[in-house]
Amino acid sequence: MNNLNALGTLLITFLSIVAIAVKLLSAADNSWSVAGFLSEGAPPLGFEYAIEPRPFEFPKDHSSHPKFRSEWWYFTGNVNSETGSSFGFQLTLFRFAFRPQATKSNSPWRRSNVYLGHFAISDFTSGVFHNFERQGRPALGLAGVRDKPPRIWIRDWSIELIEAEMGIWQLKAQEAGVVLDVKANSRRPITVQGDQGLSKKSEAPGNASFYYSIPRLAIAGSITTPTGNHQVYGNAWFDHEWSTSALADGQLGWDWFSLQLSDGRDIMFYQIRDRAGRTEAVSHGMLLTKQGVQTALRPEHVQITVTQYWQSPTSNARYPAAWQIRIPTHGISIRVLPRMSEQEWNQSFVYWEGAVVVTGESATEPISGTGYVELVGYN
Amino acid sequence: MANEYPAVNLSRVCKNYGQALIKQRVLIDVELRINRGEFVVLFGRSGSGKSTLLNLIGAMDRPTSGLIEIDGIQISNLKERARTEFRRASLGFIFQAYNLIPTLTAFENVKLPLTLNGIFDETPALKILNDLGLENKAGSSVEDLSGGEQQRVAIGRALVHSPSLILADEPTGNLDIETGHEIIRLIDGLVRRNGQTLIMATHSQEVIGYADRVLTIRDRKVVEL
Amino acid sequence: MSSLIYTAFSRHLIKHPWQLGLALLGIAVGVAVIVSIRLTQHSAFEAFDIATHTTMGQASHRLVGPKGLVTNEQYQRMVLAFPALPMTPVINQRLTLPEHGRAIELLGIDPISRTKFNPGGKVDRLWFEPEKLISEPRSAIISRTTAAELGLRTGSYLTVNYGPKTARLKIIALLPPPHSPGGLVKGLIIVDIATAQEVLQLYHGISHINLLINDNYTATHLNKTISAAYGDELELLDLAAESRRIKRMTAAFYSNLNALSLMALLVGMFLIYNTETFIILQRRKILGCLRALGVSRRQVLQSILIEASCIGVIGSLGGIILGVFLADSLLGIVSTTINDLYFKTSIDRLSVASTTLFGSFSVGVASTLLAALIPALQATRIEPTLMTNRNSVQPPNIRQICIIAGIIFFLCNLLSWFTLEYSQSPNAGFVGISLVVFGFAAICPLAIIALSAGTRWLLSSQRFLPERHGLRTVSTAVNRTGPASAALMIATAASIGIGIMIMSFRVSVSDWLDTALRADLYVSGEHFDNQSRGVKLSPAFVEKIERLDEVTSTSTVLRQQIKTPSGNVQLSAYKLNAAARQGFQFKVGDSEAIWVQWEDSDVVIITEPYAHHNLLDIGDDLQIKTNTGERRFQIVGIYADYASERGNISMSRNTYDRHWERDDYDGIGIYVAPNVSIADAASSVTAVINANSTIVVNSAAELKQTSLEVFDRTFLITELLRAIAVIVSVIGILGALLAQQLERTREYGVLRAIGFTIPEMGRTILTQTFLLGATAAMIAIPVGILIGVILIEVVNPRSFGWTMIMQIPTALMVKSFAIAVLAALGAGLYPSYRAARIEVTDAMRYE
Repeated sequence: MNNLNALGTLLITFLSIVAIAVKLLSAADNSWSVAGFLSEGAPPLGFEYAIEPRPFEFPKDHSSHPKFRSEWWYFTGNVNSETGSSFGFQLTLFRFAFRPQATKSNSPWRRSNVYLGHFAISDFTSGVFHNFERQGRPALGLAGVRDKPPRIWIRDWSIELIEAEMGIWQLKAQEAGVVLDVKANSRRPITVQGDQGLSKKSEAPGNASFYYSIPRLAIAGSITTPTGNHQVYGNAWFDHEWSTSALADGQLGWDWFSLQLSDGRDIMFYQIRDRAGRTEAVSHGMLLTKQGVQTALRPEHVQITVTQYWQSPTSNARYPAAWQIRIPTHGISIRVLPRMSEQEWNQSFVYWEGAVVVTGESATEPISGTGYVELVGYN
Repeated sequence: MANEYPAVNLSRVCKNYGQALIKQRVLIDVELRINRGEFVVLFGRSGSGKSTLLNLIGAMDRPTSGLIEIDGIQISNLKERARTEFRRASLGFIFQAYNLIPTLTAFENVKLPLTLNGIFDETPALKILNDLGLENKAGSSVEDLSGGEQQRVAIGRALVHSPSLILADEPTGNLDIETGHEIIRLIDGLVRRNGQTLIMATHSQEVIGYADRVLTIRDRKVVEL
Repeated sequence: MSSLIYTAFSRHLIKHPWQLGLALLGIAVGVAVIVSIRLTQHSAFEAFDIATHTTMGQASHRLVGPKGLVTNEQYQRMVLAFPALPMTPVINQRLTLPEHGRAIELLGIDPISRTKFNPGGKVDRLWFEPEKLISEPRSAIISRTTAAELGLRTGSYLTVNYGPKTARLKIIALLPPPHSPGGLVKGLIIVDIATAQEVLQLYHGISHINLLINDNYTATHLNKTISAAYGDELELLDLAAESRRIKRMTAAFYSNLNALSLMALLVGMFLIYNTETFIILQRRKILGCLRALGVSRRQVLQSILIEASCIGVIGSLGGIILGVFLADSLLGIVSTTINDLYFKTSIDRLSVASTTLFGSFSVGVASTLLAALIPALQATRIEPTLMTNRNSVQPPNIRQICIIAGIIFFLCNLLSWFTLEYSQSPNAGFVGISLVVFGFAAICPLAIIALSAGTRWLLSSQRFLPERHGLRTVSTAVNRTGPASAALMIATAASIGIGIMIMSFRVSVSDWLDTALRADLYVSGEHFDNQSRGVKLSPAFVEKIERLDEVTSTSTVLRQQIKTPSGNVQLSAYKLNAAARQGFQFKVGDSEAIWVQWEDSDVVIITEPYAHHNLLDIGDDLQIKTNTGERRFQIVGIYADYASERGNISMSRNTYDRHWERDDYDGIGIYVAPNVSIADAASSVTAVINANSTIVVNSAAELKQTSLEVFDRTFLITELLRAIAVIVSVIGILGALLAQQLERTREYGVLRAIGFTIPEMGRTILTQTFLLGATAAMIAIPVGILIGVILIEVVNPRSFGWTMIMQIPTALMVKSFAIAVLAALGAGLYPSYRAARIEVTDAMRYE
């Protein structure tokens, strides 16, 4: 019987080898990471770079700057409904160019840009982070930017300046039963960032962007989630930035804060982190008073301490999840807390973009506020 | 352990071959009683019915009628399976053509009855190979052995599991006279030492001298010579 | 427990390696054929899936336009109507490569919207940068295999032609084979959708839209929206259903091959049976002795079956290895057939499915055990014996053989008849064939006895003593010679039956082509892709053709996919002249009555396969969705058509025009004036065709030739397997006869001793083998014809709905007869040689 057992073992071994080989052949490793359209390396020739400050001209500069490789329009906001629900929302439309201009062609499909949209509703009442990504080829009018009046869209997601004089924007996006349909009324003037709108990302010339914000817009409109339709009011922040640069070597990512305080002051600050985890000197920000007085914030003005971390169960990335921020020159000492942890994007790029709540003191007066924080480069 | 039963007891045994119409009667009303430890020679021409009788006593065939008892066990009406088990445990066979299994070695041939009886102790096989002077041939293929050696292996195989009855069919038929005598002496010695009963069918005159009793088949009946 | 018994057995086999080899070969070949057929089928399906996947990603549906075109505007409207639905435009078109003299499939994609169709919704960035494909005009990607075939590398340029249009594409990346993630099938060139439009110079639209629909609600909603917005302009195809349908279509093709592989296994089983019988016969002595020593019947049975299962295991493993190699070489042929008949795909690689291997392995072992069971049971009957084994070959009990053979013959044929009569399944046909074959195999021994007796009676003269002796031996050893000749009979009969079927099929197709191809020239918009549709011919173009002096008259056809309650089907709308009407052979329905109603009543005629698959008959109504709503059309005729397995519906163009609004055509049949040569007419017609179009002109003879070439390629694999089956059975006969000679060595010694000369020995043996071959061939002819009848009358109509005119080609019969007899004679040569060399004394000493 021993012979038989041996034969059986041999047979099973043989067939297992065949089976394993087949498995290996058919199911090769399928997990590869996508860097997204923000590709590394030098961009193709012909793009313009942000080198010198330039005058901005509105509403023209609200629309696109196709000579630059990437561009985005960024709305983030915190809103509350009449029934007491509160939400965060994000509607971002990106434009990425493969070439500075399209080749001439009879084909309406011949385009050299791609549009990417991120739309999220953070429902703090139910704790659900609804987030959707959409890509669009700017062919056949299915995505693109219009100059007059400025409108940026990917199919039925759109950002449009409906009243240029008054600075009223309309934001529309919907997917899978989640709908954002609000008007954003500028409450602050257009505020250029960095050095007259030139925002340096590293010491290298040209590694910079043109960047302006509208730090506070009043939101009114409706948000629909699976929990129902909500009339909402609140504050939003608008950023528009364009550049041809990418992160420089050694730069790992950035932390970006946009905070709207109860005393009417608005703060923007971003810090670029290097691979060693240090904050780079090019990091900067600004503080805008209710009266429209703008002060630049240098890294030495702002002390940021991370007091808590959160590890994403999806990407395993470990993000800062609570900050103590001091700006002694303005007497500000605040704590910034995510309104919920689960506001991580996990699609073409992995990053954390979420609504935050602010508590603390200004001089000795208590202040509060809301805002948005973006954390990139933690995975 | 007195056993009052005779080693072999045949009573009114008949054996016919063939179908109803062309019936061949080989044995008619055979009466035979062989005592324990006896060495009986069954003498006669070929075709006289010796082999038929041995087949009947060897539980390989069943009589057409009559009664066969071996050691008091009635084998004439046993079922095929029971007969097989009986042969396996209680009988030893020595054939004219040795009938060793050509694919097994001498030792394996001798060991075979032990294995069949579920005995895994190899000592009896080694001992009997020694007794037969074959200790140097244990691992040889039986096809490489001489006729005398082959027949000694066959004797070993017949005796190794100590059966009470040994049946030999012309064991010297294929051997020269000298070797034949040696083989008979060997069988006689071993069988008598163990008190086993031996029935040997032969037509060789030389063997008669070793036997306790000589029988023959005449007119399809067994008679003493 | 009784390992010594196994040892005693196995050492015997090892000492007779030829017998062991033969048994192993028998089962190995049987298993190999099964494995190879299964694996090629599996590989074809996998290639199809991979091709589908690389070309459409995870698309679940496809939106197609009526003329193989979805306009840019329609795409735009669809996207705006369903902004969140994953949707991607596709252009596909076959291009020619002037530098290489071959064709390549162009696939234009939008890498951006296609992202949603990739696994995990990721960008294809593993092997190339999609942005380069989009932004660099004329950039293209091909597979490494194709690149190697064309001698291209990254950065090379490739000239492609689309009709008279030419373009140069730059290869920007080479992709690995399709099995790697992000891999690509060969014969495909991927470009950006804009590049595709530029290459084809067709800027207003795309071929189709792929969609990813996950829920039925969306699908239904989409379908409603499409019908409301576009009417019949756009049609939503369920790709999963399409791919299931396409795969199902090949089932009938494979069922033929599977039947053949079972036949090979049956022959293999006979070899096993043969070997087992022989080795048991050889071991009679050992068995008798073991039985005397007290080995029980059960132990004997067990040992033999364990031995057989070892042979089965080793043989099947060998068969699996052999089968994988065989499959590898069959793949090319299967690939061609599948491309000709079913779907366009390149089967790059043999895909080894472990389930197939396990399945075939079990079948192999099980059949070995089954084949060994009868000899094993016989072995248990060996009586224990004290006597010297006289190696008596028991003369077979002729009466018993007659009775058993008669019963088996009768029962099998009866059962076969019942199966064929009362089951409608196409598989019943194969069961019926197996039963008939088995039944006839059972009477092989009988036939041998009868033939031997008859021939002996004829050869009564003393001069034929060696022959007479040979004949007697064959019949006394019928238990050994019977199976051998049965195996040869099965192989020959299968060969004849399949031959008859193929021949009949071919003749029917050829006849049909002769009848159907009434016109002299055929003009059509050539199209290579099944999923989109060909270029249409305009009324102006048809008029131009009709005005040519060389043309006396024309008939036209327009083809369209239509919706019926039983699914989509192709509708052909014919404008037929009197000659063209002759091209329809009605299987059911009176042609005069049909032509009377043809133009003015709402009647249709359907093809045989369509009638068969949908259980339709004349007088039935077909509900068809037309432009004017659902309409009922009466079926008035069923006609012969071998062009499509799925079937086809035809109506007159007049009838069509009453319900649809179209003015174009798919094809024109041109009737050439009597005094004009067809070649001249063809060149005049070609001159009319715009040099920019892909319209082609073929003569009836060319069409017929192409069709028959496709037919022959389809059955190439069948022919090959047939050859394999015959070779195996010849080996089987050889083995069986050799075994028989070995058994009879002693007898030959005696013959030599009593004065047989060497030539007389040869005559004896060759007479034996000739008789075996002749018996096999003689039974094989009627059995082969029966197999042919069942294939033609039962299997084909049930699988495909095709009827055909039965042909019994004499040449095939003669050839098969000759092969069987020659195989048998050939198998007798070595034994004759051996027998002639037997030394009298050696032979006598044997045993």
